[in-house]
Formats: sequence, C-alpha cells, structure tokens
Amino acid sequence: MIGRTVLALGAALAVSALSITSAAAQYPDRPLTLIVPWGAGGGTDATARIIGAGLERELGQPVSVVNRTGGSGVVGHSAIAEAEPDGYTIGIATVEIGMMHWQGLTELTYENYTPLALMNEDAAGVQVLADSEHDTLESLLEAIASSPPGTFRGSGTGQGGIWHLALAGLLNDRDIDPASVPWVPSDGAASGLQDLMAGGVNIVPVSLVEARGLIEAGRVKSLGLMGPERAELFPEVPTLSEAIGSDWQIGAWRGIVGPQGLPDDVATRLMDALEAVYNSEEYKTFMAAQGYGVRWARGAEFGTFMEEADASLGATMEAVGLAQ
Amino acid sequence: MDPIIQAFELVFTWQVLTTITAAALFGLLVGAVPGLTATMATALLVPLTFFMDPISAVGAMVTCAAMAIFAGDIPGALLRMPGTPASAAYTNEAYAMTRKGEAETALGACVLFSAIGGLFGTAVLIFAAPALAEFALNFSSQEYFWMAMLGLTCAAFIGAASPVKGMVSLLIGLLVATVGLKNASGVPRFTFGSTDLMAGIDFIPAMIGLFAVSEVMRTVAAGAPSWDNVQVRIGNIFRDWGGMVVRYWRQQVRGNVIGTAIGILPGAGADVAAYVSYAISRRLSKTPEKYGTGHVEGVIEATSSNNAALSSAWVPALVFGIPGDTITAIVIGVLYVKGLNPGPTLFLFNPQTIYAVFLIFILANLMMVPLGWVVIKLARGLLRTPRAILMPIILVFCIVGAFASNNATYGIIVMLAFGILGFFMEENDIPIAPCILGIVIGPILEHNFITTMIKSDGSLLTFVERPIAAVLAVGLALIWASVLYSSFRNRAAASA
Amino acid sequence: MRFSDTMLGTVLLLLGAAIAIYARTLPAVPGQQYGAAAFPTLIGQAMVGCALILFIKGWQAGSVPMIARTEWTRQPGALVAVAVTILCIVAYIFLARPIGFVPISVAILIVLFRVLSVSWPKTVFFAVVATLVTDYVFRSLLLVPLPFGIMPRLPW
Repeated sequence: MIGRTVLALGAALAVSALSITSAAAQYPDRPLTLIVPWGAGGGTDATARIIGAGLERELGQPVSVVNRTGGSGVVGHSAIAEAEPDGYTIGIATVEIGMMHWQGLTELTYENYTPLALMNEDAAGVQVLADSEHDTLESLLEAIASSPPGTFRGSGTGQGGIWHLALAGLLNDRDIDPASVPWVPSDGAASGLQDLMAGGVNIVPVSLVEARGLIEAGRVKSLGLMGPERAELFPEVPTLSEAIGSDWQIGAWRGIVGPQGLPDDVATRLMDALEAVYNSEEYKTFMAAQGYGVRWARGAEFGTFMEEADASLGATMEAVGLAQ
Repeated sequence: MDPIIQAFELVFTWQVLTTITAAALFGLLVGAVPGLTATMATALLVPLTFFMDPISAVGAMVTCAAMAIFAGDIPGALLRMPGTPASAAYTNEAYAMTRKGEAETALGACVLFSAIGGLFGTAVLIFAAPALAEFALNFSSQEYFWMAMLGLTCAAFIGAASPVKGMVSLLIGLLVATVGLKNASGVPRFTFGSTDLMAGIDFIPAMIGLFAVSEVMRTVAAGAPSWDNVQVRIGNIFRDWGGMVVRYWRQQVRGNVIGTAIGILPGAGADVAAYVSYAISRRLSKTPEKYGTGHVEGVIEATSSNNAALSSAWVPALVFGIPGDTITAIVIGVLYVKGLNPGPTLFLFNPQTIYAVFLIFILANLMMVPLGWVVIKLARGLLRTPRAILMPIILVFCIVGAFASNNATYGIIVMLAFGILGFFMEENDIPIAPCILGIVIGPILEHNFITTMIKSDGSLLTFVERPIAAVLAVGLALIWASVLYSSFRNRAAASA
Repeated sequence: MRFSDTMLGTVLLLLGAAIAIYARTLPAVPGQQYGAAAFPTLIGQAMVGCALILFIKGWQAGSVPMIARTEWTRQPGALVAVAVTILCIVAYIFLARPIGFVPISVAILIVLFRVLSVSWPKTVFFAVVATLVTDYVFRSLLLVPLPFGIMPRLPW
C-alpha cells in the first residue's frame, strides 16, 4: 500500500516536471502573487481579492492574494518593491506610498515601482453626528474658527494617516490652524466612528463608504466630500467646491503596481489584463455594491497620477507640520 | 410567523446546506492549523462568495469562522499548539489533561461547550441586538481603558507559583507589544531601523514559539519518550457530556455571559474573552489549586466564552455596520456586496433574510457537535503515533504556520526567538500565560490611555468623569481590594 | 539552565534600565504630556522594581549558584538535541528561499528523526510523506506561498 503510494507520487512528480519544461516561454506560465500591505477585513484586502479573482481569469494562472501587514503599510510596500521584477509578484499600492517617506518612515516612493493600473479612489467626507447642530460645512468651519482650540476633535485613522491629513489640509485651506482640532489616533475608520458615537470625538473625515452603515442608520451625516464630483453612493452630499467654494481635494486610492524594472511585454500583458478586469461587469458591480468609487489610469498615466499625489501630499504635510 | 417560514425555505436548500458543510470542513482545517486564524479562513472564502447567493455566502462565512475558533482548541489540547489566539488562554490546561490521559474529556468539553457558547451568543444576538448595540456604542477610550485594566488584572488570577515571576512575564509581554510603529503617536519604537520590526512582533508566531516550539525542544531533549499516561477511552461520550453540564453549569453560564459581553464591544474579541473567563473561573473556583494541572473546569468556562464572543461580535456589526472583530469586518463587506446592508433597516425590511442568517448561526453551532465527535475519534490515532515521529513533524508545521501568519520569513525568526524565550522561562518557573496576556492587552491599554490623554489635554480626572467609566473604575477598585484582603487573610492564617 | 533569583534580578535590572534610557530618545508628540515614551518608561521602571524584589529574595535564600544546570541537561544527548532543533529552524530561515520548501523540510525531518533514533526506512518514508502532505495542504488548500527554490512545481 505504502509502496504504491510512493510510486504514484514519484510518477506524478516526473509528469509535472516534464510538463513544466515544455510550457515555459509564454508569460505567465506559473501562479502569480498579489501582495496586499493591509490586513484581511479592510477595503484594500477586499479590492485586491476581487482584482485577483479577475486576473486569474484573464491570465489563466492562479493568483494568490498575500497579506503582508504592519508598520502602517511600510512592510507590504517594501515587499512589493523588493520582489523579483519578473511579473510573478505584483502588489496593490495605496495612497500611503505618497505619505510614508515624507514622515521619514521609509525611503520608498512611487519611483520604486512600475505603475500598472489605478483601480479605485474614495474621497474623504466630513462626517459628524446626525443630531449635530451643524447642518452645513460652512457652519461647522465657522464654529471651529470661533471656538477655543480643542473644542472639536477629529479621529478616523492613525497619527499622520490619510484622513488626518484630509482634515488638517481642509483647515489649512480655510486659514484655520490645523492644531486647533486635535487628532485622536484610531486603529481605523470603524473605531473612529465608534468614538464619534460614544462622544469622544466630533469630526470623522473618513470616506463615505467607511461611514456608510451609520449614515444609512441615520446616526451620522456627511457635510461635504473632498472629491472632484459627488459620489454615487450618497449623491446628496455636496463637494467642497459646492459647499464652501474650496478646491481642496483628497482621497484614498488603490492601484496595482509591480517592482521597478518590470519588462515591457510583461507590463503590457498585465495592464491589458487589468483593463479587462476593470471593465468587467463583475468588478463594477462589486465596487458599486460595496460603495467604493472606481477610477482608471493605465501605466504611465497612473505614474503621473502618483507623482502628482506625492507632491501634493508632501506639500500638505509640510504645511500642517506632519512631515519630518 | 411568515418571515420565519420563509427563512427556513431560504436555508434548507441543497445548495445552502452543501455550501455550509464544505465551509465547516474548511474552517475546521484552517482553525486546526497553527498560524492560520479564523480571520484568515474567512478571508480565503471572500473570492468564492462572489459566485454564491447571499444566504450561502453569509452562511459559509459564519460557519467557517465558528468552526475555526473551535478547531483551534484541537492542536492546543493535543500538541500544546493553540490553533488560533482564542485558544491560547487554556492551552496549557487542556494539554495537561492530555498528558494525564484525558484528551477525550478535554476535547469533548471543547466541542460541547463551544457549541453551547455559540448558541448562547446567537440567542443574545437574536433577541437583544439593537438595544445592546446601542449600549456598546457608548464606549469611548475611557471605558476601554478600564476594560483593559480589568483584563490585565486577570494576570493576577491566572496563577503563578511566584507573584514576582508572574509580573516579570506580564512585563515581557507588555514590552513585546510596544515594538513597532503601531502606537497612538505613530513613532517607531525598538525597531533599530528594521522594516520588519516596524510591523511589530506578530502575536501568532510569538504564540507558536512560546507554546509549541518550546515544548518540541523539551520533548526532543528528553528523547521523545512516549506519553506518561495511556489515554482513557470514554465509552459513551454523551453520558460524559451530561455529567459535565450538570456539574459545571455555573461555569458554562458565566463563560457565556462574559464572552457575550466582551464580544459585543468592538475592539475586544474572542481571545480576550477566553483569558478573562479563565481567570474568573480560577478566582471563583472552590479548587483553584487544581488549575494548571489538567482540570476541566477552567477549560469549560473559557471555551464557553470564546465562542459566545464570536457570535455576539455580530451585534454591532449587524445593527450599525461597526465590526466587533476582524472576522465581522470581512463579512460586513460581503453583506454589502450581497445587498444585505447592515443597519437597523436590515431588521425591518428584510426580516426573512436576517432570520435566515440567525438560522445559519444555529445550524453552524449544532454542526460542531457531530464534526467535533469525529475529530475526537481521529485524535486518538494521532495520540497513538510515537512522539519521536510526531515531534519533528510538529516542528515543520510550526515553521510553516509561523511563515503563513504574514507570509514572511520574519515570522519564523520571531517564532524561534520566542521558542527559546519560552524554553528559558519554563526552566525558571516563569509562567507563559501572563506574557501572552500582556501581548494581547498591552496595545489596547496603551492606545486608550494615550488617546484619552489627547482628548482631555492631560487631565487624569477624565477617567472617572463619564458614568460608565466611573462604574468600571469602582468595580476594578473593589476587585483589587478583595484580592488584597484575601491575600492578607491567607497570610495571617498561615502565620497563626 | 536555571538562573538564581539574584542572577534573574541582574538581567532584569539591566533590561529595565536599558528600556527606560531608550525610551528617553523617543520623540514627544507636540503639545501632549504623554506620548510614545510613556509606556516603555513605565515598563522599564516596573522591571527595575521586580529586579529589586528578586534581589531581596536572592539575599534571603542565601548562597545558590548563579546559574544551575537543570536535571534534564545531565541526560546524555539532551543538550545536543536542543541545539540541533534550534539549528534546524535556523537552517530553514536561511535555506528555504534558495533551495525551496520540499528539500529543506525533508532534510530537517531526516535530521530530527535520526536524532530521536527512528529507524532509517521509517525516517525516509515519514520525512517524504509529511513534507508532501504539508506542501499540498498549505500551498493548494490554504494558498500559502511556500518558497519553490530549485524544486519544480508539484502537480498541485
């Protein structure tokens, strides 16, 4: 019995070794790894998994989605940058790649990657309790400006995170000292919203999709959206330019990148596959159902996008004193 | 009554039942493998749920998670290798039972009381979700700070021969928890320029090292002798269960209630629940001296607690879309995709769907009993394998598990370092449990202390200004007073 | 290896002091009283406190050797076995990526089985089968990217 099992295993091994030598040459001929710098249970993880499933169909090879978490995204982003540039390891980069190096946490910038495709962007919203006396962003900002510092507090991400920057940038744009609204660091949007409900903080400037449950439950309202246009999820929320005439915009984006120096043919193959995934019914439905915004930019265009985002985030962090 | 009948029709289709059975087996496998958590099991299911109807999708995730949390007990009891963090609190106790030859009793207790705990949490979810979610939303950082302090107090009850050494162990755990970037100030600490250390010390490989690797080293050093005791065969497992329920119903109810309460609070999960319950059990037991020597009482209370916490984590998730733990965070995403948007409206507009989900909760916990029974029977085979064969294979499993926790070699390095640390600690009678408790609670305690200080501008008074926080503070003070009083009385009695 | 209370106290004292000194280098959050340094400082101080208690205990206990060998270390081969186990893990850390999971796992299992005096036929059989089963379960069912190294992809 045992002998037969060993024999069968040996035969299987030999067959597989043969099939590999004959099928080489054409990329991709083995499974791909998609690195996610954030943990299971978050929006980035969910987005990566749907993209992974789509890529699997387009490329005809299994795509395993691998979480490399920790260090506020530094670990996973490093893992993508340090991978072999052969197209078998790619990753999902997030807005933090344009922020971490300004804080002195890493040397990595967008230049360490081959940009493949921007897949999603969610603008920051300004959320307060539904029974707050402020019904417009204008009235909230006036109250902040006229109250002593510390009257209002914000939360929704860690110190120096994207939503912290969103709020600080907004205040800075309105010539209000960002320090007048102290930031209470939280593990993420959910715990920030929880603290909003518990009365620990007053403003939670996270994306609409993250606040969706409480907005739909009628417990939280959004006063403005820091994006170019209104969101499909809550079309009644005005953009900043409509609400207060400000052109301050900020949001969290996610895109697929490879390590620097990906061969051109491999990059093109991946971009084509990603474009097909982006345009698929499945991706659109999934993102719309979850409430995520979609935004597309291919290759070099995505690179320019990252470059601009990097510069603008850097300028904001400099202005509000978060840069090192 | 109509929506309930509709719910039955939704659930009792071949498709749904096959899906959740498959998910149950998958959860059992992932949960039993150290290094892979219930969260990972659920995340691996996400792409598959795209192709399922809503009830199958939610059913698969609920069943998979419940099964994985129970399955974490199996390698804990048999190999001293907790499969998921939620089992770490009573791994020593269950393993001690195995060494005494009572593996079947230990695992039997885990199956039965996990199932009952899950059902209890589900009952609370069904009957009291909206009101309890409302209450849980009142918890701000002040309240969480006191909760964390209560959790740390548990270290004093877990029991150590020498209180100083217990304290040392706790401090090691707290120190480990401070490594990395994940702190309220966003400042890298103890990283020495390493990117890996920025991520901090991952709890899972540390746990595998402290428990399993140190045990492998000890067994290998002794030449892997066979087990000291022959495994006792339990004739009729159901009669055995009846006896435990009658004898330990108080522990079970207490575990259920505590687990449910902790699970409802976003920010504390099944792992904390198991620790708190184990500690309470020892504190209130008539025979605390038996704890740690392979006594089923603490195992029952803690395992009743972690599965109850898992079910009740759904309370804030379903009512407000606020995840109680990482598992519910994943499922909330799937709920949205399937058009079952969490919120009070889910209860109003879609009663048949929500009843169907509840029905699946009940089914998942009931399925645990037959599947668990099969596992117990299989376990006997595993325990009969000579340890000289078993131990090296366990070591390979540990390595792969530590790697899998974050898909990085760094995990194996952490595992090795903690394996050596755990080995050294046990050599010196420094207990391991307080260290793990420190790793779990340390970040919660620090985060809530610092954020509260940011909110209050440094005034410590804020910790007792809010009503719930004040009640928690007084409760904690009373617990400490009672501990001090009883230890003085014991000392006086000893010297008299 | 068993440390006496005095020895344990000395280690803790040094560790606690090092932590407290290191914590002083952590930057404060502007405008905040408590920052990143608060907790490590407290832990360091508590460790020093524990060290002092251990010193008192050590003094009460009188003369005990600083480091004592525990019972099991006197068994022949025990220390070697522990060292081999640790070296196996170290070997995996360094070699898994270049040569792949399957070869290194088989090698580790063979070494450890032999240390525990398992017969050769059993050693080879269990080393190969356990490795292949682990590879299949983790790589295929659980999608863990175990390193391939020089190995061709197995049929799963």
